[in-house]
Amino acid sequence: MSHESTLESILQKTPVRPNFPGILAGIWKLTWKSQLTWKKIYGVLSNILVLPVLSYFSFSFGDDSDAFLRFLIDFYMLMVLPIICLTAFGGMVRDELQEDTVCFLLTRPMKRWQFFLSKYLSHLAWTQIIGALTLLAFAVAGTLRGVDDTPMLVLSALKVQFPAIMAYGAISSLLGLATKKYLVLGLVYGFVVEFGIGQIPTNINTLAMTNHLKSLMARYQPLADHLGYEPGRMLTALAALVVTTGAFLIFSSVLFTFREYNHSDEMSK
Amino acid sequence: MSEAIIQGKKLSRWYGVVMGLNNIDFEILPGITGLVGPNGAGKSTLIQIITGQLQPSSGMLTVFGDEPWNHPAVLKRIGYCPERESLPEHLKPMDWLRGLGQISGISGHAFPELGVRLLKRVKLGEQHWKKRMGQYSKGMRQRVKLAQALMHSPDLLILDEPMNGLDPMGRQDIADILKGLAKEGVSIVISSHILAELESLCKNILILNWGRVIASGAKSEIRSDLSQWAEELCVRCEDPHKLASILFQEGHLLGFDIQEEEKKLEFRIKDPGQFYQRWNVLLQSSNLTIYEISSKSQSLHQIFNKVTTS
Repeated sequence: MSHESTLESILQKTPVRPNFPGILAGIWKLTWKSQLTWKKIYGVLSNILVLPVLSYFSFSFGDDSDAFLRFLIDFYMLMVLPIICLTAFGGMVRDELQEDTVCFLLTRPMKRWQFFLSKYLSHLAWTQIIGALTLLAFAVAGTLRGVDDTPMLVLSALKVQFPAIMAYGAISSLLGLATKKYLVLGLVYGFVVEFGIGQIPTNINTLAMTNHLKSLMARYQPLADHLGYEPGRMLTALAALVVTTGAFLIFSSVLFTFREYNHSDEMSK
Repeated sequence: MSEAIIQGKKLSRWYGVVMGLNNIDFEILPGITGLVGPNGAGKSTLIQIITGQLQPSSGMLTVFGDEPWNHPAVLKRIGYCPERESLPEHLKPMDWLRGLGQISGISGHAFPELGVRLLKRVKLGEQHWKKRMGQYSKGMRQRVKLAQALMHSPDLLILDEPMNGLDPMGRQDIADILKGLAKEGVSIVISSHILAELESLCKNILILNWGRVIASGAKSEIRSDLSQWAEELCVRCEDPHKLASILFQEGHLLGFDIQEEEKKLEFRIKDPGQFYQRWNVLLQSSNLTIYEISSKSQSLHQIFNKVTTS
């Protein structure tokens, strides 16, 4: 049998039915495999290990718990994690543009929102894995230094980390689609909304995701004491995070549906 | 007459103030169509609109009757092999094909068998399958790109410079694959600078320059459309000087060249329509013995040169 007829029969036997789970599975596969280059592995390892290792070596002599919490909560959860989300989600489409591989994806039989949402969910899963490993490293550092209740502290952070990555990721993905200078815009957003409006003691501070995350973390008393924050209603905080995520994802999907991203102007950061 | 698979109506595309395509109307029929034009002619813009990567600024382009932008039912029928050589450097071809296949709606169970068949089909040596694509040569990249375009069994294959970087054997391989696909009923639009390859492959051509369609249709039709341009004839006769003199006096010559030893007159005709009405009479009245008359038939290269420089 010739190659031609064999190929023809194989292709005819192979049903081609584009569907969202298939799109998601394909993009997830390409996403996690793309993270396993040596260059990216070094970056991932540094994300996972640097802060826990620093927290291990820089405990104050007086109160180890407080130093540990400053690294875990103030530095990692409230500062580094949003920046990790900004780089991961903001660049999720633009990295494909820069590598010039987006044309292989956008010419596949799918709606553009399906591509965007699959990219978001794939990066969400990957960033959750990295975040979980980072907290695991914190747990090891805290345990080795004998910090009280390390497992509960880290578990509480882990519970909040999931919605945090989800919300920061959605915001970052919109910034990434809106402009190639998404890092600058993200930092401006962080200073204005999260650190600026978020500190205003009126209801307007509900616009800041950080406040909802703090109110979720404050449900565990040692974290409430550390943050100096009153525990909020869990459902209210979660609803705010979910609604924000949904709204940003809808905006992003609409934007991606109508806007072109393969013009050369868009291909540089 | 076959129905057009791609239709452009008053299609324009701007990049800011730069015009990529300028109010063009055209049809592409089933079969293999060559897309020809110099750099900046608008070929890549047209291909990107056909494959749903760009939208028209004005006018309309339809593929199988629908606009391709954000239209999975149309994109499902299109396979695209871009000119760019960028492949995910860290991936092995089989992993990449599997991922793209799943996105296209091919079940994961079809792999690795489908991947093997495709890579064999594009004649990528089996010893290269385990390598990451970052290690691939230009020619190997072309073959993998073609494999991913064929994966979902498209009705229309869009190839942007598919012969780039291939050695003569590789070009022949790709040409054979394309001919085979055309026989199976797949329509192909192929853009290439290597006009000799297009000449042998394509039945139809679409010539673009400065964002406009200069000529389109079957090669033979375009040749006859171009008859108002000077055609070249070559005549071997007993006295080429005398023949040149007769033609000059009749006002038919744009230019000529006499090769004494071969007794050959090569000349360019001013108005082919008038010339061929008078040609038989002129030959009879000249009383010259004619040994041979040959027309320098227009190759695609000549057609291309004429329409793009006129």
